[in-house]
Amino acid sequence: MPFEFKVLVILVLLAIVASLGSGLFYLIRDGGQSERAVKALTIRISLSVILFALVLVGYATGYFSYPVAPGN
Amino acid sequence: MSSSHAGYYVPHGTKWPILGSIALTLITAGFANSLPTHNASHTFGGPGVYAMYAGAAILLVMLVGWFSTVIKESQAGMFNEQVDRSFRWGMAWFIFSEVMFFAAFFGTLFYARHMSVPWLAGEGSSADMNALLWPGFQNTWPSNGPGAVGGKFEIIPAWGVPALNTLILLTSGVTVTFAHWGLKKGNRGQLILGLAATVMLGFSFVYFQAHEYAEAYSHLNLTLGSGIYGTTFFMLTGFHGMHVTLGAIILSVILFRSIRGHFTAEHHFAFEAAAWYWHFVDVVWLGLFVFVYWLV
Repeated sequence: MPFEFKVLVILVLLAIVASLGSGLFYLIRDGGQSERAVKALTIRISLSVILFALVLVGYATGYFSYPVAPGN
Repeated sequence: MSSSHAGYYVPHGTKWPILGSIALTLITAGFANSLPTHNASHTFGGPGVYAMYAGAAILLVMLVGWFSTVIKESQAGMFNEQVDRSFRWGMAWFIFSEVMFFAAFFGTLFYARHMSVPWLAGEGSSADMNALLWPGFQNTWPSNGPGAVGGKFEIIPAWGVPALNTLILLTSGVTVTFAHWGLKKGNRGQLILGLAATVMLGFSFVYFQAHEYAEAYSHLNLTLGSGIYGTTFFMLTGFHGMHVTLGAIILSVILFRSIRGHFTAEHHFAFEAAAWYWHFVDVVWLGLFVFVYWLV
């Protein structure tokens, strides 16, 4: 798998974890009184859909493939 | 009324905690006594299994009973701001323990793939170790390790049910966010529709994953005993599947509570906690999809 693609995937994953974390932070701090938690989680799911699209595009363009044979 | 009191809500006497302790003791003691080394037949089993199941049944009773009590108390207006904060912090610490739990298993995966297997194959300064211990062992992944523990196996292709399951969980993330916005905007129909869709998608995921497990065991010879690949695969996906099941059950309870009108646009911590948990489960799956199935 191309290194640049790996880096991109990992960066998006980190952004997803960050948005999830911020969602938790607002959940604890805001006590349901603001929209910050639901907005953070909306960002989270949007980034996740982007990640899946990235993986699809990578696979469809033959940029990378999953292993089909075991190494043993 | 306690809701006007600024201090802690001091609960009445209750039997749930001791019941929980008894349940957990039975589960762990039963499990420990069922392990092969403690068992005359040297397989997993024996009378300890009954203790384990009895403990699980008691735990189920305790969970249903305790949560019912808390929900009733909440609906009766017995909780003040201090209690609300306690619940939020309790949730936060539980989440932290869950994050650490999965971090340990992902850590194991990375350690095995990037350190143990290469070292056993003689990478780095371990050439002697390979020559003395496992000559001929190659640094490849997937691998059932030196000695080919468990025999030849095939892996589950990422572009198949795993990709379908990713689509299912992502869609469920969209539907739970749709429900969340419905709750915030006071749109009850949107809340209930979104939650119902999320629950159905969640249980669909579990169904497909169980189907894949059956396929792995019966046709691929991919089992918990398939060396380091098999163990990391099933520990990671297995505990994840368990969390999806629990999350779907939690969301079902929230769905029933929503139908009964328990939540308002201002007070809905249980919903937010359940929704966040569901997002967490989805993120863990994305990690699995990328690092276990695609092997990034």
